[in-house]
Amino acid sequence: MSAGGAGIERNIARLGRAIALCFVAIALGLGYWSVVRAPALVAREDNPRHVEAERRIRRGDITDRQGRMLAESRPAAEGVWERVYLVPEAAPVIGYASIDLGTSGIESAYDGQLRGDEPTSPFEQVRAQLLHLHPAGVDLQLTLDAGLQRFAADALGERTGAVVLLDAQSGAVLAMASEPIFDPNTLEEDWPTLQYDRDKPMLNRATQGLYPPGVVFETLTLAAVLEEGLAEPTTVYTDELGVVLEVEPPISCPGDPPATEFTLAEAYSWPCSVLFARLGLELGGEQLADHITRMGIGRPLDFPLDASTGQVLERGQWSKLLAARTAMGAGEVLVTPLEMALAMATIANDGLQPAPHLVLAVGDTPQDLPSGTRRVISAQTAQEIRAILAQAFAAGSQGTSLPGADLAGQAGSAESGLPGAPPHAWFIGYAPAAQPRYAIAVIVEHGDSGWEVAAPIGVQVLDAATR
Amino acid sequence: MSRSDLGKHAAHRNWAAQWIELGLIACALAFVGCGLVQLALVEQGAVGPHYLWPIVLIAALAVVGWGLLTWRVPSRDPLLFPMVVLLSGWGLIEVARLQEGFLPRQMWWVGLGLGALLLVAALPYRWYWLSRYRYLWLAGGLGLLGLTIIWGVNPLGVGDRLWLSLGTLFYFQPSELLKVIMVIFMASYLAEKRELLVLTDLRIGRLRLPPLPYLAPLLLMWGFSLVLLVWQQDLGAALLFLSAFLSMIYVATGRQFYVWAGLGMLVAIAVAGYYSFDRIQLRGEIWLHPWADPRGQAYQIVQSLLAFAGGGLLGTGIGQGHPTPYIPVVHTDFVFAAVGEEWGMIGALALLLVLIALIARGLRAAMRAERPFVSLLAAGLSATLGWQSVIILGGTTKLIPLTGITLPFVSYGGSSMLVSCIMVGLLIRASAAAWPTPPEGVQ
Repeated sequence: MSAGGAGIERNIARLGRAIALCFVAIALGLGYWSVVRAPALVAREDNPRHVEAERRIRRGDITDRQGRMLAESRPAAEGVWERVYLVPEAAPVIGYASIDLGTSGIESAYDGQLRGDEPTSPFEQVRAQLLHLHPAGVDLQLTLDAGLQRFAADALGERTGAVVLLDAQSGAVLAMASEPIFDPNTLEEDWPTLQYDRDKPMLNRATQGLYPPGVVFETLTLAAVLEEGLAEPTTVYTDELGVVLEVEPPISCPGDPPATEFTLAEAYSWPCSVLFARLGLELGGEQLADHITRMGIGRPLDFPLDASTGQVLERGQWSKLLAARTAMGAGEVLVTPLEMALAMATIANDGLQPAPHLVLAVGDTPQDLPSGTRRVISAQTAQEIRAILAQAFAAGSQGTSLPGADLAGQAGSAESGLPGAPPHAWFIGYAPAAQPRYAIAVIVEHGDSGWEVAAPIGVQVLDAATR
Repeated sequence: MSRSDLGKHAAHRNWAAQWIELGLIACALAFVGCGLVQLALVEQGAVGPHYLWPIVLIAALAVVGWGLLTWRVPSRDPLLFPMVVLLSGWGLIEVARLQEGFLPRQMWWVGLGLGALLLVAALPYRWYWLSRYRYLWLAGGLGLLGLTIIWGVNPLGVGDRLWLSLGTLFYFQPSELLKVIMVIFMASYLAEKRELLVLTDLRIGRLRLPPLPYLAPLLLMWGFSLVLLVWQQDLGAALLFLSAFLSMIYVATGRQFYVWAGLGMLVAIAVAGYYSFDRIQLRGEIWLHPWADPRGQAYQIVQSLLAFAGGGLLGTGIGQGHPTPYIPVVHTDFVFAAVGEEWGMIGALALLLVLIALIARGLRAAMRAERPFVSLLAAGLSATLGWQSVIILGGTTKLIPLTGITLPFVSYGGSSMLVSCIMVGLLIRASAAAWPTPPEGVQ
């Protein structure tokens, strides 16, 4: 019996019980947050642990066709990885992977593989959870050629536009430049200005830009005419007035026609030729549209990047005027540079259209070509067009400083639709002239002259590719 | 005859209890050592001296302390000291984990704290000195607190100025020391006046009221400290003072009336404060609706709860969660959330168990003490440690509104460490009187 007395002992015991009760309440509260509410709290979007987990994922590297590094994950602080883009010029293709801003481009299309989200065995999952192993992604090899990609972007330089260089046989994208560009290495800092930039540097113009095709579109009309047997390259036409009067308003070209008697091939090489309006009328809108679509304009692609599809009028929407104007490239048709490059590749590849693709291998697995090639025009038509293109290139490049390269192609302007603004400048072509391996499409927005602005870029890039 | 109270027990050295205590100390050291080694491996991949020194320090202090206690206070409770070693070691792990730069300073404070604990427990002085000079102690404590109002600083440069600076590196929070002094003062006063308080009633007709005249000095002193604390807006400390005060009055008198009156007063003050002080209103709002503003005012408590959820049942493992940098001041007020994330609910429950065991052993010493003063003192000290834990743990788990105070021994903070050690030192000393003497034949 202590001197404090039974009273104090009893009171102390009660005090102890009160404190113990509070500890029980705390233990229950702990269980509530740690177990009962944990799934909901862990899933909260504002939980910073998501970001921390993301930063610990080693994304797979992205290399070009020769294994040169394009995008790499480098160790930053303790277990945290940092994405470094070694060829910022490839940003239109590779896009970005940012914890704050999400993903785009190839980084987005192959996000699952690059993050390493591929399902693993339950044993592996338990092991990873116990040892706090963070997933490591699978590497990606692209069809791009880092050197050509840089070269194409540099060739565009400060100008707004796009370059698409394809392997004509396989459809592999060797270079895909779009300017202006963003730097994925400083994306977070630049984001506020990038977002509202009127030049839209985040837009991949090569696949997403929809442009009026202008004169170069006559190449597709030419293919339709030859396929339908409406004319031969050597068919002679006479036209003294140079005006198409069957439609309202009548169609004419600025200035007098260079000749009153000419072949189909000669008319093609002119910067503006009402003959094609006439051929359009002869073909009719529906038939023209069929041929254009077969060549890939407005046909959805199995392509990893966000790609627009060109716009071609539907059946029943055609009028005589629209058919005539479209055949000249001035009608209601819009194309992407990728589609034009693909059409060019088809002609270069003897009428077989390859499936355009960007990825050579995921990890160690080679990527099978999406669907292989398909016959679009006859080999004979393709050869005839190539002969005409070679002539056109010789004629068009006269008086310009273009090197006498071993290639063929067509350049021209397209009305941009903006009142007062200069037209867009286009170039499509292939190289080498005799045994085509590469096909290209170049657009410079508001570049004015196709031969003076777009063609030099295309020639340089083709030149670099064949060298 | 020995001059101190300890002398008469010195002859009854129960070696079984001493060895049990040494075994428990070894267990605590193994736990702390494993924690620090694990942390070193996670953070640096190798165990450098940086992580070894804390182990060496705490092991040396523990073994020397055990020897000293075995020599001077052989009949003590063999559980108290190992639990302090475990908790302060756990605190060192957390400081190394959460605020590495503060580790050397915290090591100094652990050294000072355990040193103070041993001195308080083992020095030859008499309880009489504590109880006789209660007004002197109290005046000293209040004086220090008063100095804080004039010369107070905050080591961080911003925030409440609750510290006195000793040189440029060491800061001391007088309200911490006042905690012990208040308990000593009340234990002394209540031990003297207990009989009067229990037996005398103020009768007005049929109404029985407590004997106000006898309570007056106590209320005055207590009210004075409370005013000082509220002046400084140290709400956590004020709440703790109130809890400790009510606990001691209840232990002394056994009257629930005091408890209910005190709690009623607290609720009244809280409600009044809610409507008159923006700061208190804000705290209340954060407590009631934290999810309404998870990125703003409620950021801290929301991050704390996310940490508990992130840890789940088993925890992420030390060094592998993310209490830093997301929970502000995680190394002091929110250390429990860090434990919850990295050691899991299991680890947090273990920490709760050690704390409640420490408090229970303190209360046990209080129940067995022979003198009312020692009994009241031990009960008051245990209650203070207990309520302090409850207030901050309840705050971090959102059971009650958050008021920033430290978790004894585990939080970073020198004054808290020192004063908590002094409190357990007194408890060890009190337990010595209580530890049962072995049967006659063994002597």
